[in-house]
Amino acid sequence: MDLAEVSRVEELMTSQPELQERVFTARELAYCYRRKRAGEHLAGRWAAKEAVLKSLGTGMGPRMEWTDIEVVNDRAGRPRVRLSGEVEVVAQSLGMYSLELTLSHSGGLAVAHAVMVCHPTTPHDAPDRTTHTGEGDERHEA
Amino acid sequence: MSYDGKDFGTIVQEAVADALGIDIEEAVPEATLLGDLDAESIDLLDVLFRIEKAADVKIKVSDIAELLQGGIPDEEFADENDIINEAGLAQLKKSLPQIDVDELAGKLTADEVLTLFTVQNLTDLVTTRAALAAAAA
Repeated sequence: MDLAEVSRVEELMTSQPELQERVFTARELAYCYRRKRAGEHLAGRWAAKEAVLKSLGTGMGPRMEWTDIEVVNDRAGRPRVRLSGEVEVVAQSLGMYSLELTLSHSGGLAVAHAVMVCHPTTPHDAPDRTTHTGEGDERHEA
Repeated sequence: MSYDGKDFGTIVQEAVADALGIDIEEAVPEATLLGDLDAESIDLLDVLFRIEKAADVKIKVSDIAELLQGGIPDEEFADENDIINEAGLAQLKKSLPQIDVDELAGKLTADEVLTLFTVQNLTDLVTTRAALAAAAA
């Protein structure tokens, strides 16, 4: 899970607009700026990227880019995560086959909760971060 | 080493102070960014971008991870419980010379590594990057 202060993300992205394209994909930026309170949506996506990195157990590791993690919304408006680049490579090495994400905004904070569901027998499982669902899968939560 | 008359130590201290909203006197070389100065990852992004604009040296958060891990694969850097192993600590000592390896042995977890990164370590990284860029030019 990760919390992001909406005002901090908004302030940084406004004062250093060149950073936006390093952190967010063009699709994420288009989505956020179509919304009335773009700052809340940017902060939500920032929190989501952080939560996904935590679920991997690596944080921002070597060769990773913020844009390797993209939050998209399906037709029902539900947030989904698309991975690419080094983040996808690491997720695959952990045996990931799905990544669930929830986003919320309240009280000037954006909250993201990411759960990575992995195949049960993978070479790099970290027991201290893994919870068994009882159905043969394993979940890495952040 | 300097850029436009400013030494990299000053550039880094100013970037840290401006991004975190603290006095430059607080951004002392030995202060850890995520520990002593309470920086969060978004602050680190801000610091690195300020340095890039002030010194024309581009450093990404993932470059810091690369520096710390020195190309050692995850499974050879830490044990199955994510405790940094002997090889990992030896590598960390190269990029973070201030750490006490004996004190950290058997205790330091992978997600705590970045909390050891100081203002001086960042200055060293900027200095190294600038020298590499100058040599390549």
